Amino acid sequence: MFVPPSGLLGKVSKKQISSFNKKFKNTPLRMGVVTECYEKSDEKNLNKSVPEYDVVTSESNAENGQSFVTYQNCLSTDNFGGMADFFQYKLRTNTETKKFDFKKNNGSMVLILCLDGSTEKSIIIGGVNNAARNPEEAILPEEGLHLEGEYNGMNWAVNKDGEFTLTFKSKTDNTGKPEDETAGGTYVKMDKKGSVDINTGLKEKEETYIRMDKENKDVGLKAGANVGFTAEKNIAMNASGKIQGKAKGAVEFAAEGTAKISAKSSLDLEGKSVVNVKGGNVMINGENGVMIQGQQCMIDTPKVFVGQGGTPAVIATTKFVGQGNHGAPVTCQAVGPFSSSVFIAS
Amino acid sequence: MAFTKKVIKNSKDSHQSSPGYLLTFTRYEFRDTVNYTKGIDRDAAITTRQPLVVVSDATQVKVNLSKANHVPTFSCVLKQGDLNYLTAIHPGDYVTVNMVNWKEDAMKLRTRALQGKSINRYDDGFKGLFKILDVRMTLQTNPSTGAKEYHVQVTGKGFDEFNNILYFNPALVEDSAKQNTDFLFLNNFSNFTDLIRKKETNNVQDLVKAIIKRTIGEEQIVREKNNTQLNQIAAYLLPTGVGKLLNRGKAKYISQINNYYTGIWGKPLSSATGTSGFSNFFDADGEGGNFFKTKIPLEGARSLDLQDFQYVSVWSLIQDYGNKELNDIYTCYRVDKKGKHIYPTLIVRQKPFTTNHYEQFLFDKGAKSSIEVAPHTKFLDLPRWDVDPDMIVNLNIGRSDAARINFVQISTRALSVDPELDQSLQITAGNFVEDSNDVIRNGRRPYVRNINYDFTGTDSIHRAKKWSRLVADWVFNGHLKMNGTIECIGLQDPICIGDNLQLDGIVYHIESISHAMSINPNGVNTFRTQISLSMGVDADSPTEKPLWAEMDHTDARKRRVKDWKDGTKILPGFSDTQDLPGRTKGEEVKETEQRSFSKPRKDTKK
Repeated sequence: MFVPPSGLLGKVSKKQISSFNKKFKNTPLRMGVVTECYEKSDEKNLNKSVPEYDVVTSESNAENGQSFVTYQNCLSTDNFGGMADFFQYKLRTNTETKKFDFKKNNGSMVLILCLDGSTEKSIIIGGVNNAARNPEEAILPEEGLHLEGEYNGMNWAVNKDGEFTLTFKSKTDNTGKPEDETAGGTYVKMDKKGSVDINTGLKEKEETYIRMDKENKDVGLKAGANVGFTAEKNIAMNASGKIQGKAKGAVEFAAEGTAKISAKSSLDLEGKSVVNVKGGNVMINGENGVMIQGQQCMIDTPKVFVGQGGTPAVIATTKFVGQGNHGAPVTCQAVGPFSSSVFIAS
Repeated sequence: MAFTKKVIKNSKDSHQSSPGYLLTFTRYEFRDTVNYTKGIDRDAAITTRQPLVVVSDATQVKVNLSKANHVPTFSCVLKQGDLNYLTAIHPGDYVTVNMVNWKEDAMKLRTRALQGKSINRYDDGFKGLFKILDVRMTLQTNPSTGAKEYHVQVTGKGFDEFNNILYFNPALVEDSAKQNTDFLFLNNFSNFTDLIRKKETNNVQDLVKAIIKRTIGEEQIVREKNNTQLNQIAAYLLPTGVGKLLNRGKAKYISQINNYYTGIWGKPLSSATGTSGFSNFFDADGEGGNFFKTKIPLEGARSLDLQDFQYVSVWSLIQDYGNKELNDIYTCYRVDKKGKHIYPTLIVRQKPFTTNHYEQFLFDKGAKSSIEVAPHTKFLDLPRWDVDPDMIVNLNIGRSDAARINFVQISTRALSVDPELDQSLQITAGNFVEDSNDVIRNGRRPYVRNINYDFTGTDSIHRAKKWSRLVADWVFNGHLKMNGTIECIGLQDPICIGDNLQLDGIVYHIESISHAMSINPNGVNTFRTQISLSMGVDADSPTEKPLWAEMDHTDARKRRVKDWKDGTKILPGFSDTQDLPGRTKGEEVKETEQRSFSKPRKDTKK
């Protein structure tokens, strides 16, 4: 009878190598919680390329009871896996002291599988609902077909009507509590009518939003404080109907180049107190006429010309014709002062 | 020349005409630990009764030891005489077994056992310490005579402490309020994990020792209630009295009885004489206890993970961490370093099958320098037992094609996320060896293994390459090596599995040993030892080229002449060439011609 050398050619019972098999024939899908993260700069990180995680799993092994097992240096999946295309993210690690109490452990709850069945080569292939997560935040029955996700305070959801909402809550802690609730509340929503609302969530006077109403084909813009338009080139506003502007304060337009306000019909400029028109030369050109109307009309200028090529209105030879006390004509000559500011054409 | 212990006949004829045995049962006082040990301290709970020493009532005593099984077994059949063994012996009790050449010696041992003195000296025929497994009564009625035969059959197993199932649940560590030190939790092992969870070139040996110390216990380690230190793993308690029988009177724990030898044996440290030569590879480990190590540490490194400790036996854990593809891990009853006493022993060593021509084999396979030579133990350097051929009563040896291997590939750790451990790099490094000429004649006979113990460390040569050649040297030409079984007059000497045995110029490895003693209805005692052997090579195999056993003498007469001249004298007489009338042109084409199939030995040239 052939006697094989033990350990070389002899057979080894499974019982004798159960520990080895546990380590290197570990094929079941496991569920656990991320407890540690080793950044690529960490000396405990093996691959030096992407973060690695320790995952504590709760395992039930048929007749061998249940236990918690720590899988070390697990990689996380990358959906695209390309040199150019990737999908990377960090998982949350437990910050509670009781990492084996899954109701209190606040790390990411994940699923892992072992490459080649080797415990040393564990891969986080996905996640499941965290046992400690508030059940009220889970999808409710009345919500119907619903998708919702959140990462570090950024929430996105598609509801049963197909409406998409992206909501900023501000950075969150491991329990999901936002760090800055004042900053949070901003959302972008595409509703079932196809309209888009970009809204800060502020209310009343502070309400700030941009709305694109697809049904009415309107765009609304509101700011709780200021609205600024800035363009390195041009800003064009075109309307088939009216363009209206109303300010409780001042309205100011300034152009470093030319400025033009034109109207194909009448143009009204109205000021309740003073209307100032100022320029190097101010030209008022009325094709049919110009009328200046007021209680007073004062032309405050060194010279006034009335008509083209006029001469000074009063000079030494200027004669005045009037009627004397007895009704007879009287002719008199100007003795001064003479005018050098007002010129009148004949 | 390796240390060789001759086992020779002690008389011109029989060696032993009335062999004897000694079974010393150490029995706990309290069997029901649930209900009968309340209110008494632990020491009182493990008190024992007067040892029950049996020298006559057993009609059969058998002990089996095998490298392939870490649990040696014991069985005996006891006649119900004055004692009702069904009641007197209980599962969980301990028994030591001695088998000696003479009944008188057994009686002397009996006296010593009853006096609480050691019965495991080199010449005491000590065959093992066993824990009782089953005690069963058998009653048979002869249908023709109505006579009833009434026996008690007892079985036991050794090294049961290695079957201890570890139950470790880290959640229990977390909540100190729930700690229950009555169980064998590996509490606080995490400190140890942190200590060695780093890349080391070789840490397998340290890991194995650490596992032993923390799962079996070590000398002086006591498990105390509410003790959360590293030693919380219980040292395995031993019933009082067993220590005295094994020359370790103060031993309270099995860890104080066992010896542990770790390391690559390499060359013997010195040319020892006497029975200390069996352990002439070891020094004290320097860590106290019964740990000994060789000059060369075991190769391989890996991290220690707590999950490995959950619901596995200690033995499977040691196998797991011991780099079993490279290393030999087995239990035995072996002579101690001083050569004076026999102790339960755990050996973790590199497989000692390296041929004498290993270095030449490497250079034949393209090695450029000696740095490619892995630490190793030459097979022919292992201590040998040289059993007098006159004592052999049955022999069945030969070769087998089942051992033919012509392709070896060893892969080490391949982590896809770690470019240093990439699989393709290992192949590029040359992690395979082929015996091409054998492949084209016999097809591929692969020996392909993964060895998950190699952080790249600081080795200049990739370990996948180095180890593939080391292993190839072990397993190539397996079809040329002799194996089989021999049965001989019962051996009182502490012949041990894992040692070598020399017979008729061939050195074999001892795979298993079975000692059986029986008394037939006529009162005749018989003591036989059966030994399974493997890896048999010529004892004179040189360094430049192997010399295979039974390759020289194609001529039967010359083979038998050699047998006679070298004093082996194991073969029967020779009846001349078989060319009887009418049987011309038989097997022998040319009379007395012999042509060696190997490099001829000097004394066998034509």
